[in-house]
Amino acid sequence: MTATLLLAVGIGLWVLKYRNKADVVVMLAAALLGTPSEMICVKYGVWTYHAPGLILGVPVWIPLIWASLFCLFRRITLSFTAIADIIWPVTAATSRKIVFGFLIGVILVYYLAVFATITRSIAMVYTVIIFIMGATLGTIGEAICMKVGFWHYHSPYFKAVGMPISLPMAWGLSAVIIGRIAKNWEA
Amino acid sequence: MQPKIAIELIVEIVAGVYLTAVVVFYGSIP
Repeated sequence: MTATLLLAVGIGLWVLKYRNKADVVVMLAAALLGTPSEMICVKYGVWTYHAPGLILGVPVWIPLIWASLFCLFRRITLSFTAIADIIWPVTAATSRKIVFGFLIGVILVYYLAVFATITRSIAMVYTVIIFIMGATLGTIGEAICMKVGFWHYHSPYFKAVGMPISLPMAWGLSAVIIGRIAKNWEA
Repeated sequence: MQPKIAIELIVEIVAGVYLTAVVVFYGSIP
């Protein structure tokens, strides 16, 4: 209860102080997407909360912390973007490219490490195949939907097909995670 | 321009510390 109140007060003050529509949208989206995801994760035993007063397995303050955190992520990103623009007023500056190239490298290494970890597990063949299935079928399906015009990405890295660079990775990892959940029910 | 960004960043860091503290200290209390 205390946490809920403190978070609610924090959100209230923030929204009143800045009166920023994007902040409110991020908060709502994070709360609406994050809370059910957590409930599903808890239901299938991905993790468990040890606290009294749980609603469908998650603490009452979960929507509020998702709202606060994602609002903060966005705000900190805006600040760092502004700082990057001060340090490198010229977007094409080589040092800027090196720094962000390095950061992209860090992300890639992280994903490779995650992938290396899953491929070393007992169910290696299953995991590899379900990753490839998710990555290819998901991406192809999405490409078809986008051709029809169901949705579109606002800043796609692959401009020709209109997709973000992370899409096959996201589909693949989602397939692995969801497949893992289903595996608990197979035996 | 620059002091404004510095203030924003400080506010964001304080907010982050506050969120962490609330969850750590009160998260498991009903």
